[in-house]
Amino acid sequence: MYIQEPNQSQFRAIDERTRNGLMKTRFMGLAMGSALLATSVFAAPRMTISEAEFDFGFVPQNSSISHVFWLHSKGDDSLRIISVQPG
Amino acid sequence: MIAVGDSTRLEIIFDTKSYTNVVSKSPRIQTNEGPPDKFVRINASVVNRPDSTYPIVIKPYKLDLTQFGEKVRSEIKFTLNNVSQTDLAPQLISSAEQFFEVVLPKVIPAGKTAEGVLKLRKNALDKPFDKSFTLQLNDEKNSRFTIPVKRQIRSGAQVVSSPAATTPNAGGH
Repeated sequence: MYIQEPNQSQFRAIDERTRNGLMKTRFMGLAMGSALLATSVFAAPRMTISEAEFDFGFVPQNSSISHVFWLHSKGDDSLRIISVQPG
Repeated sequence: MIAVGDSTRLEIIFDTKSYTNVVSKSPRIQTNEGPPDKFVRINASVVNRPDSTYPIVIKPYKLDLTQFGEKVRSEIKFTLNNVSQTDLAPQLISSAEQFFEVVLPKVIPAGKTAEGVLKLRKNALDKPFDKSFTLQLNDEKNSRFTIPVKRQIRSGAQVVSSPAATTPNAGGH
């Protein structure tokens, strides 16, 4: 059985391919890292309110009435209600 | 924290006190979304003479299901008097469904009175509360009426009041 040793030019070609492969890997890693960074930097919570105004119509004096509004988390990150202040 | 895609309820409680005429309140909601803050808005036409409303007059205009002693009060009736010239169809648009069910008449003929019923849910029988329901009519203005519903539980001299509001009181103090 005979194994041909690579000559000098073949060594150079192999070296070039390896370098290209490393470059590609580095570039892909960089791209993935950038994407992850962008996601974490630009991920933002967003709140929507399906019906932001409600009209009770006629109501008697000296009574307590109530209505439920629904708040939806529609962003890329979790939503936190910090406070609700009476208007 | 509300996960992405989830929702949460925000109950706004409004104490009408001795306000008169139209009152608007805009509670402010601050979130980690950052400025500007968001608002919800409520409007109400507070009346000091409930028998002066148009096109219907509701009696009683405040429903009190306070329980005295052992006898369970699980429902209360009310009347809707159509004082206009046209038939009206009331529609329930907001209610505290976890506490009670409201049955409205399909039509209130012009000049006639129809009856509605509020029935407490079984799991609310032992709970004091201050809630309300809102109905809308099919008249030109789509007039709305909100009826307060109150329940306390009295055993002997002891009174169990509704729990302190955990949600903001738009009436403000």
